Parts: sequence; C-alpha cells; structure tokens
Amino acid sequence: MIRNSCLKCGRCMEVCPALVHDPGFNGPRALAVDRSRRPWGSELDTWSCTSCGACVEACPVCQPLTDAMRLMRQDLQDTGHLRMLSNLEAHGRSVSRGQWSMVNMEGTHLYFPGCMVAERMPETIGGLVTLTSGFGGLRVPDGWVCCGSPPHRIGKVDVADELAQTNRALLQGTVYTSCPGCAERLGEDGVDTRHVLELIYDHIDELDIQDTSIRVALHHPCHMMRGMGREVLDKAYAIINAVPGTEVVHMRDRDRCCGGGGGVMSARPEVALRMARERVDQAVAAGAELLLAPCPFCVMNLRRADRLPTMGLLEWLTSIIA
Amino acid sequence: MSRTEVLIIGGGVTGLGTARDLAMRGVNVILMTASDVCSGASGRNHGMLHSGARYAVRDPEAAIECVSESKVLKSIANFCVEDTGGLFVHLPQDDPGFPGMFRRACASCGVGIEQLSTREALDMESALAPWFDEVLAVPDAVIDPMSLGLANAYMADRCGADIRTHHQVEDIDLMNGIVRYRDLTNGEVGELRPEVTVNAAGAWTAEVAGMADLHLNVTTSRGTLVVFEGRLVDRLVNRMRMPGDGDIFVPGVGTTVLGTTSSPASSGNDDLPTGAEVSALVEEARAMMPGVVAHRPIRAFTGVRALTPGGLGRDASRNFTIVDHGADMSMAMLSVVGGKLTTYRLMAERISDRIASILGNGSSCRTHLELLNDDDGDEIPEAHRARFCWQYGPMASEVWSSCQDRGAEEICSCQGVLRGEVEHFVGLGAGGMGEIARRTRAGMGYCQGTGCLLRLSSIIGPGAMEAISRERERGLLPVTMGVQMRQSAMRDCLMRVYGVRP
Ligand SMILES: Cc1cc2nc3c(=O)[nH]c(=O)nc-3n(C[C@H](O)[C@H](O)[C@H](O)COP(=O)(O)OP(=O)(O)OC[C@H]3O[C@@H](n4cnc5c(N)ncnc54)[C@H](O)[C@@H]3O)c2cc1C
Ligand code: SF4
Ligand code: SF4
Repeated sequence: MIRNSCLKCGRCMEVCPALVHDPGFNGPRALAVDRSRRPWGSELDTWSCTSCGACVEACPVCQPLTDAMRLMRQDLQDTGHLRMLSNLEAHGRSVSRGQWSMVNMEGTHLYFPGCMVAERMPETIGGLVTLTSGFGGLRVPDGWVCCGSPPHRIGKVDVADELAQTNRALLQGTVYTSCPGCAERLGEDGVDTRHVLELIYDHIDELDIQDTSIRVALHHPCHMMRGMGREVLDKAYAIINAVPGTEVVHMRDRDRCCGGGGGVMSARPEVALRMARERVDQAVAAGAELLLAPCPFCVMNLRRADRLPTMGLLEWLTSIIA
Repeated sequence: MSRTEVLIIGGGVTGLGTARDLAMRGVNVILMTASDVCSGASGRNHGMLHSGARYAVRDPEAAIECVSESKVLKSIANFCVEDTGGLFVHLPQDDPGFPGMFRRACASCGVGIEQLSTREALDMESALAPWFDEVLAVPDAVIDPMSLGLANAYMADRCGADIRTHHQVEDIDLMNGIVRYRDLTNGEVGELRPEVTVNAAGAWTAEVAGMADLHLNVTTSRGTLVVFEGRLVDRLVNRMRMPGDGDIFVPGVGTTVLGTTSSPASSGNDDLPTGAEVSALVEEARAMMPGVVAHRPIRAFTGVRALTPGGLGRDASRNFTIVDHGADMSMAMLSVVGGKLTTYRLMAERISDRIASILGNGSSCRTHLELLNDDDGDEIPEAHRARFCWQYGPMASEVWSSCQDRGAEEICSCQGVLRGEVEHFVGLGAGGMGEIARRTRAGMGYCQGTGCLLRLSSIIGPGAMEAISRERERGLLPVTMGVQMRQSAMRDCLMRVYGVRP
C-alpha cells in the first residue's frame, strides 16, 4: 500500500494514543504496513485512529502512516459516519445545522468559520469580531461549505474534493480560521490559511486584557502542531503569556492527542472519551484550573471528559478583554 | 535390524514425493535427509508452477510434462497454489524472431496462450516498462515450495513412511546391501539393509552415487534470487526471449521474487548469494521494470540445481533422468537427476513405478488422485484460516490447536505468525531458526528478524540468538543497501542492547 521502508523500531506503536485506548485497534504499523501487505485476515479496523500524526512524527524513516490509514479507509464505511456524510450532502456542513446566522461582518480579514464553530460554537465568531474590531475585523465569504477535513480523514476523498472545489473560488488571499483541522485541509488544497490567533498575536499589544490569576494548561492540537507548524503553537503561548497574572502549567505528555480527530468521536465515541479523560487528567495533575485548546474539536471532546473547565483559547481571551 | 523395503536419500520434493507415493502403495519406506526437509533446492527456488511456456522453445519434452503436471498440482495441492496466471512480454531490443517461435512452440506443446494488447497488459501490471511490443498471457501459477514439501512429508508420514531429518548417508555398499548413515543430532552411526535405495539428493546426487563407487555425470548450477518487499506484480512476468538472467518476477505474499542467475556451482553447498549476482539481476530486470531499482530488497538466496548430463546452465535440459544402478547387486539403487519442482510428482511416480516392479508390488500410483490437503480448517477462526490453510495444508487444524491462550500472541509481526505456531513445531522437534522459519515463516518478513528474534529466543532459548542473526546475514549481506542497510544497523543496535552481540 505504501512503499514500505519500516525498520520495525516500534516507535509509532509506542506513541499511538489509539493503541492505548482501544484494545481492538492494531496500531499504525500493524495496520498501515504489516496487515495491509497480507492478502488474508479479517477486515482492518482503522476507526480508532484520530489522524493525530504522532506516529508519522515519531517514525525514523517518515513512513506516511496516516496517508496509508486514509487509503485503507477509502474502501470501508463505518455507520458512525453516515450522519456526517448525509449532513454534507444536505447542506454542505459536516454537522447538522445549528442556530448560526450570518452576523453582519464587514471586516477586512477573510475568515473561514468551519462547521464546528459555525454550527456548534457561534458565540466564538461574535467574540472574534469584537477581538479583531480594532485591527480590521473579519469577513465571512458567502456560500462557504465544509473544508472537507472530516470526510477526507475517513477516506471519502471524492467528497472532500468536491467541497474544496466550491470553496476554492471564495477563498482568495490569506484566510483566517479558528480550526486547525480546516487550516490543514485548506492548506493542502493550496489556500494560504492561518489561524486567527496569529492575527491576534500580531496585535496583542493593542488589546486591553484584564488581570486574571489563574493556572492554565494549553492542549496542543495535533493538526496545529503537526499540520500547521509549531510556530503557531508558540504564538498561542505568547498570547497566554500576555495575559497578566496567568500561570502556565505543562502536562506530562506535551503532545498527546485529545481523541477528537479522525472521525473517532462519531465512529468510536467511547474511545475518544477515554483519550479525552487521559488528557484532562494530565491537566488536573499538572495543577491546571482551566484547560485551553485553540481548536473547536479538541474543546468539544475534552469537555466530554467533564472534569475541568475547558475553553477555546480565543473564547477565553474574549471573556477577559476589558 | 527391521526390514526396510526402500531407503530414500534426500528430503527435497523429489524424495518426499516418492516417500508419499510409495507409502500410499503400502511400501515400507524410510527417508533420510542430511538437514531439514526442503533445505536444498526445494526450499530455494522461485515457486513457479510452470505452465510449460518457459521451456516450450528449448525443451519441449519438459514443457509437455509441465503442462499436465501443473494441472495436477493445481488440483491436488490447490491449498498452496495461487493461480495468478503469467505474462510473457517482448522487449524491442530482444530477438524479433522469438515471439513467433514461442507461439508455435507453445501451441505444439499444448500451452494455452492468449494475445494481449500492450494497453491491457499495462492495466494489469502497471509496474512494467511501457515500451514492450508484444504480450502473451499463459497459465503460469505460483506454488509455495515449503508448504508443498511439508504436506508431502506429513502425508507420507501418515501413510507410514518414516521421515528422518538430520540423518546423513555416508556410505553405500551395494555388494553387501548395506547403507551406513549418521544421525547428525547425536553423531551416532547406524546401518540399514534396504532392498532398494533411491538417490534423490538433488545437487548432491553425484556425491551420493560416489558413495556406492558409481560415477554419475551430473552438472550443478547455482541460481541466485532476490526477494523484494511489496507485491510489484500480480502475475508471473517473464521476458519473452531465450531464458536469461533477471527475467522473471514472481509475486508472493507481500513480496516479489526476482530470478535468476545461472552459473556453475562448485557443489551442492555452493549457496551463498553474492552482491555481484544481486546487482546483475537488478540491472537486467530494469529492462522489464525500470522502477525496480527503487524497491526494497529484503534478502537474496541461492539454490543449486542438478542438471542431467549434457550442457551446463540454461542450455541443459531441465528434464529428469532415472538411472538404474545395482541390477545384479544385493541391493537395487536408483538415482534421479534433474527435474523441476513442477514435475516432482511425475518423477516420484516414475521412480515408484520402477520400485514397485522391483519389489513385485502390484499397486499403482494414486498421488495424482488424492488431495494433499484434507483439512479445510473449519475450526480455525476466519481471521487466521486462510493463512493457516495456505501454510500448513493438512496440518492446519493441528497447528491451530497450539494457538490458544498464550499461543495467540503475535510473535512475528511482518508475517503475522503466532507464538503457538512456533511452539507447535518446536514441540515436534524443530530446532534452529531455519527450521522454524521454513515452517512458520517467522522472521522471513521485511525486517528479517528484528524484534521477533528476541521474542523467539524466549521459546528456543537465548543461545540460539547469535546463530540466528548470523544465519540471517547470509541472505542480507548482498542486499545491505538503502533501507536494508538502515534495517541492519537497527538490528545490530538491538542485538547489542540485549547483549546478544558484544
Ligand atoms: C534457483 C532455482 C530456481 C528454481 N526455480 C524453480 C521454479 O520456479 N519452478 C520449478 O518447478 N522448479 C524450480 N527449480 C527447480 C527445483 O527447485 C528443483 O528441481 C527441485 O527442488 C529439486 O528437488 P530435489 O528433491 O530433487 O532436490 P533438493 O531439494 O536439493 O533435495 C536434496 C536433498 O538431499 C539431501 N542430501 C544430500 N546429500 C545427502 C546425504 N548424503 N544424505 C542424506 N541427505 C542428503 C540434501 O540435504 C537436500 O535436502 C529451481 C531451482 C533452482 C536452483
Ligand atoms: S495518527 Fe495517531 S491515532 Fe492514528 S495511528 Fe498514528 S498515532 Fe495512532
Ligand atoms: S516508527 Fe516507522 S520504522 Fe518504526 S516501526 Fe513504525 S513505521 Fe516502522
């Protein structure tokens, strides 16, 4: 399936979160390399892979394990994903329609909300409009559809391509988004995509932020650090550090996946929940009073653990702006 | 000393097939082989089940035998045959007269061929060079030599044959009818007085004949093959020309074998593959598959074939000869020279017919009528059944019964081999890594024994480890480049960490 240069070092298996939390999951090398080269055996169960990319990052020979996982999924179908696919078919969003209606946004910066933010966390957009009003404000393109990341990760590449087609014409120049999943996918499609926190980082001095005395931990979204680049993460830390009175604590595993990606929340919700609990427990153990994540999927899944107040980074910033 | 009707020397497919045939006829037979079963040419070949096409032009007699025997094996040994079909592709730089000759020869030998367009062939095999100008499809297939050999041994044993591995014949006294042998496991020597001795020692046939002071004019030729990672082709792909180096690709399980070189061998033991042979093969094969250079060679191996008197290498007939020696001695002796894996059953039948007439046994051959596999593996869970049936044939359920509980642990992740499989054969007396690998395929995958070596050592003892990793290096050294170089470095590191190597 992939040009196999695996050395059997076992690094990918060691770092894979799904392997820990789903006893039925075989792990990246076993699925993407070993089992796929055998003509026999049972159907491959790939649905607990969050596409976090930890395995690829750890692999000394850079085996494209996540790409292979996606290729394997191409011919499979999990019932958990049917709803997502029918939502996309019906209204171009990966989730069902929420309450969001286009707020009047006449700003200069092109903003791509993404399904999760638009339909599940519309308050985020209102907050971002306020945050950015001093330096241009945001503008949402009319007629945007899902970035294609959710179908792409479950192997429905044709669906993703069709969505990308629609978006391409609307997304010219630099596009800001608050979802690293969208950013990565749009980036792969050739759109110059940035996280809104990068825009805010550039203007952080212009914001009047209240003093808070709180210990926060920052979760590193996989698609941000591995998809967009670690420098974006550095900017997230810089923003937190600009908030007076805040203390940052670090979790034991710096880069552990929260379980929210790769369609696992819909296909294997119990696995996603176990991963979220592990992550949140780490934040609690580190002494955090608040867990922040600059990604709507991470926020969504981490909240399911229900153990620690969890917020989007920018939502938090909005809430403490004077 | 108990009465032995027949002693077979050599545990390759020829000897094992003969043991099965004779045992099925009710003949009392002992087979002795110097090391493991199928450790000679029978475990070191491409595993082509020849349709006859490859021999049609040069050796029509052999081709005709292949036509019928490949059909027989597709039915009696279908558990270890993958009926992939084969292609012959003609390249512009090769003899333009050959395709015509080839088509006529196939027609006269009864090899079914079908003309394909270049487009059709490329759709089937996208890795091929697009510039060939003629393609023919033939009914070639792939057979697993180890599964075939083991099934023959198992069925022979079930019919009462006594198969003794690690028994080396050292002297044959035709005059007095005595054969002396050594049990290599403990060094003890013994004697047998068989009525008939069969010399089926493959590349060592002349040597064994020499023990009886007989001279056999046998030449030996070595052939090196390279195993690549990945199934680069889905059918056997042959170059349509007079057989030469680097002109066959044979698809396997997650691998592809590229064959073969052909050069004089100094003896049956002349089986160390060299880097020069690997380079020569790959260089030649580029004409058919330019991308082959970018693929990962897993290992190389060399087999030594015995050829019937005459020319050397590919010009010699691959057809077999049965030589009758001791007509007026107190013990009859037959030597069998040449042949192919594909025709092993026919050879066994001919030898057994001769023996039956010597012994006055009136029963006739049934090996082409009875399946080599009577186990459909019903008890084996679906996830494992296909592999167990393919590898173990008639033994599949027996092996599976060792794979419960702790035995279900995966011990070799390249090949998906379970702990129980290894324990099963260790329980039956399989000793070193070679014997375990030949049966279970553990350690035969792309990493060539990295983590699995450590897991195996918990079964066969840590003492075997160094020998194992040295054994691996034989086949690895000639391909230690690119990825396999990194792999070797990785393994070396691991061995040091675990104190196997200083
Ligand atoms: C490189 C190569 C590729 C080939 N590819 C194909 C192919 O694709 N298809 C095909 O049909 N055929 C192929 N062949 C031919 C085929 O492999 C052989 O014809 C066949 O395996 C020969 O089997 P055998 O039993 O006669 O000899 P072997 O398998 O060599 O067995 C002889 C046995 O005799 C034992 N022995 C030797 N001396 C003694 C002694 N003194 N006492 C006890 N035992 C002894 C040895 O240990 C050995 O195990 C190939 C051959 C080679 C070399
Ligand atoms: S992407 Fe993440 S979850 Fe998926 S196999 Fe790799 S490490 Fe495991
Ligand atoms: S990390 Fe890479 S080289 Fe190591 S086992 Fe996994 S796939 Fe193989």
